[in-house]
Amino acid sequence: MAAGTTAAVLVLSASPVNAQTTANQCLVCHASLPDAALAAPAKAFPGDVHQQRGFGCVDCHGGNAATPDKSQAHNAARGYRGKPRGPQIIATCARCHSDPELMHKFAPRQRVDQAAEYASSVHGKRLAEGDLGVATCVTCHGAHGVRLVNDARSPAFPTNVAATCGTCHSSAEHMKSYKLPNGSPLPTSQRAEYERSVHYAALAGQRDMSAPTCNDCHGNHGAAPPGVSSLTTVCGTCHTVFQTKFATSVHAQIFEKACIECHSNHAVLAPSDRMLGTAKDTVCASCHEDKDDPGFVGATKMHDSMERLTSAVDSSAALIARVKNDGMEVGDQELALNEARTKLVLARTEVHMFDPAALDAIVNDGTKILAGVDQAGTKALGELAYRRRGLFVSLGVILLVVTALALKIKDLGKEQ
Amino acid sequence: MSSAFNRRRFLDAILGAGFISTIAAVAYPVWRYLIPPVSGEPATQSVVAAQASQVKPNSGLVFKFGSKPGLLVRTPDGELQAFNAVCTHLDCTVQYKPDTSQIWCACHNGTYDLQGNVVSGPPPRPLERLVVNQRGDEVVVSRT
Repeated sequence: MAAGTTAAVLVLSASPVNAQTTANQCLVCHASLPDAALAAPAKAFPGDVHQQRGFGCVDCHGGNAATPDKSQAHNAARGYRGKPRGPQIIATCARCHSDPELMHKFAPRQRVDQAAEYASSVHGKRLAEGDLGVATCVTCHGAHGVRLVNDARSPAFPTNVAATCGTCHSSAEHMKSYKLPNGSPLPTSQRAEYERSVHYAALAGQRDMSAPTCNDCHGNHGAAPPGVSSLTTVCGTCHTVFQTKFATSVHAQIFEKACIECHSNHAVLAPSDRMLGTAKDTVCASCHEDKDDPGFVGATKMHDSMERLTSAVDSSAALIARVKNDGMEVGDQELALNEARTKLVLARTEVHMFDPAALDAIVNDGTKILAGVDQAGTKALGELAYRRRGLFVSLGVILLVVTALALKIKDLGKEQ
Repeated sequence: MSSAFNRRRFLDAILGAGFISTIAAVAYPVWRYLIPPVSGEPATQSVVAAQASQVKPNSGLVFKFGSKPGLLVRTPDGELQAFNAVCTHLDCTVQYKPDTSQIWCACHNGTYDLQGNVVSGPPPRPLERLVVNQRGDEVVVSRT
């Protein structure tokens, strides 16, 4: 009952209506303070999303914003709490952000379970154990210049997330006291690795906001490393077909780290057919070195199949481009070529089943289509050569006639 | 003598120039034929995709639209819609999925609604929509 009353009082005190009725003396005073650390909040707050919705300093810090007198403004009797730290930050934000009725007035679609999620995160658990070095709400969202997450200036905007997480996770100094469950040091190379990845290239390079950043795999408020058992599910959130194919494969039972065994985790590079096979730089070779190993045999077969289809597609495409450039109609062949390319994409998907026979079936479909394309292309080239021969013959005849005509005219001239 | 010589030179010059012009007029098209300019095929503007009676409600039909595949769909409501059937993700050919009444790409499980908009999966853009008209029983699909 007491807790409920306290919550009600806090929510009432968070009402923006109260904050709007009088001038905010906190800002007036703090903006002129010589200590930059104390002045910065007052300077940053005017652009803050909370300020724009009518909230003031006292809604988080308590106290009295109506008076320029410091002792009255910082009066504990008026609920002055000063700068919240650690768990107080979570509680301060959660007062509003965990209140569905209050949040409905300002952001009806926004979730209100952030604090509950945070408590389940590695950050939240360590904070509950007394570790004040972990991230809280303000670490990622800022404190006095908070922007909406969809504002590109927000530290939580997708393209800024890696840098935000990297503030702590890329700092060897900050992370030195943290260990992995097996006791080894926590790595600090994640951001650098991520920035080499195909995901980062899509997000930062192509501005594809659906490309994943840290929180898409680790969670944001409930941030935690994905467990080994859920790795395929995490990757499969976007790569559903590959998850389905992989789940039926023999590797699903063997790989301890699922997808990342071949693709890595943070440094997910653009996949390529060169990953497949038994050459030294292939991922298969890292486990399958023995020529009698069924995996070695399977990897060789799959590599050969993919090589067969890719080279056939390239060769047919070059033939059709040449024939088309020579002016022949190749619409049907281009259509068939598209179909063969579809088979190639399907084959690259099928690779994740690690079943050479299943892969071969798709590759054979593709090469069969391409055989027809090549046959038509070769026939068109033959037709073109025939037309050229005819043209040269007719040209020769025309030249002969013209020459004869010229000689005849000359003869006539001599006779006259 | 001098007059006849001048006339002959004049006629020879006229004939020579005419001969060279004739050779050029013949040779130029031959040259252009043997080494044609690199130019794309003009995009197909209109094709008869199917007979309307062939396309049952809640079904789709892939047809040739120039050098690209097109997809003609008759929605469960009986409306005819046509799209460029090339998935906007990696150019696979899409197909109609009657169980979900959606357009589906088998390569990476991309799905589009019956307006061509992306519903789920990796496609970055909607499918290109084509215009459908009926001429008797013929379904005429065009780009504009």
